[in-house]
Amino acid sequence: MEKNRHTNSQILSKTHFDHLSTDEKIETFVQSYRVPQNRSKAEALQMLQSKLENQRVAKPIRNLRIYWSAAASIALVALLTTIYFYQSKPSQIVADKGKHIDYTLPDGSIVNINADSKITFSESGFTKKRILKLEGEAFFSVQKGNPFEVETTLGKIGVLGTTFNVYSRNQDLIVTCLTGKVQVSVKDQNVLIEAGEKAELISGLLQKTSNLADEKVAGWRSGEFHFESAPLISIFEEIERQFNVTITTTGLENRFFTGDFTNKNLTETLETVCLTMQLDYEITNGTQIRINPKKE
Amino acid sequence: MRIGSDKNQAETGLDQVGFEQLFDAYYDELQHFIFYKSGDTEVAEDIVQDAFLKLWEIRSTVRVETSRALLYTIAANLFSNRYKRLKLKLRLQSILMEDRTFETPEFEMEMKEFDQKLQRVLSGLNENNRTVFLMNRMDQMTYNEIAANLNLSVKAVEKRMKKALDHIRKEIDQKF
Repeated sequence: MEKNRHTNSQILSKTHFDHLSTDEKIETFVQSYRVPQNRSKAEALQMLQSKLENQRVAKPIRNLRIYWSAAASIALVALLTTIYFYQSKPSQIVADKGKHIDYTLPDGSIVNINADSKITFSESGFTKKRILKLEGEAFFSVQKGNPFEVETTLGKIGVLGTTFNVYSRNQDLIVTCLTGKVQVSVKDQNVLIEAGEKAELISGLLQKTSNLADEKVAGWRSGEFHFESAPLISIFEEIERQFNVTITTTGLENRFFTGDFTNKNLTETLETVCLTMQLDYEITNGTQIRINPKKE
Repeated sequence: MRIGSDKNQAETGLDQVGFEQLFDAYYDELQHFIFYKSGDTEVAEDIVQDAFLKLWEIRSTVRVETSRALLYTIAANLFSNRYKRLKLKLRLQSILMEDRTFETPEFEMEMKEFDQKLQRVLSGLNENNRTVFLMNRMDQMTYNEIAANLNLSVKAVEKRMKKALDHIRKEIDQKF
């Protein structure tokens, strides 16, 4: 590791330094840099071991090998119960309205679950057979490995290892790909999308569009929502989910909205949308909102 | 730095010993890796702790040959999910500045300024380009090694190196 890392002390007279080329100056300094550490590697290992120790006490033993090596009938019964328990009770991760959840799956892949959305998967053998169900919207950063499949009510999304976003609500299915390749299947229609592309189900037809700006893909993860000619009703549905409020609207059918909002502040968001769309809003007891077209 | 292949490491699965070997071999470079991205030792050390915890959880499916790249992926995922891109300020320790007495105070000033400027420029680099550049220059990793660790092609690593270098040269040349 330490090869070529010492700088010769004679090099650094002023005359010498001034004669170095820019590249040499840069290299001289970069070679001299060390990454600061708060704790040593030994301390870090100790800390890790004590964390693992705590986990072992807190959690029932899950290592199947231990069961096998015990090889006693009681252990076998326990094993079967464990397997039965895992298979009969799939894990469910639910993000309520107004909440986002970041969840790490057993294979190390990460799911960011948007408000009012749910994922369901079976913990046992997930790393071998990576299948999960999604209701709502989520962003996936998938570790490379076996095929990874997301099932939604309308269709299936299959990948190997990439990052992508799935929006599946009501009759809408929109899959956007940030890196890698993603296969989207709806009944007998298949579409393969790559980074910056989007597959959308429009009146039963799976279509592909491209050239999305990176930051617009799943901006919701950082609380930024971007819409392009989206039905106005769906904007208010998103606001309901993000702020956990109920919105009643009249006379907004067939209107569309293009713009952004954030999930930081409810009134600010309502102002942004209502101002551009010529609407009035009224908040009653904090969570009930009425929206009407502005009166002349 | 290769992990010796033990009798039971041909198959999948890591035991305690294998796990600690991985820790010993890769702790520092992973801590550096996240530091290059975050500029924060605290963050880097937390992330690497959690990455190893994660690895321990999935140890029954881990293959030793792929564990290094896996650790990089887990650490990078943990980092990008937990921290928003902040404007960072890299504070690397320079042994050049610490261990040296300079000819004149003026020269010392000049060196200090160069050091600060270079660190500013490094901080201003695109995260991916900076990370690759520093892995190569500070951790002495070859392009092949970096590519394998980050699941990139060697071409992509070359591209990032070139971008990093071009940027640094341009910025440094502006005043010096």
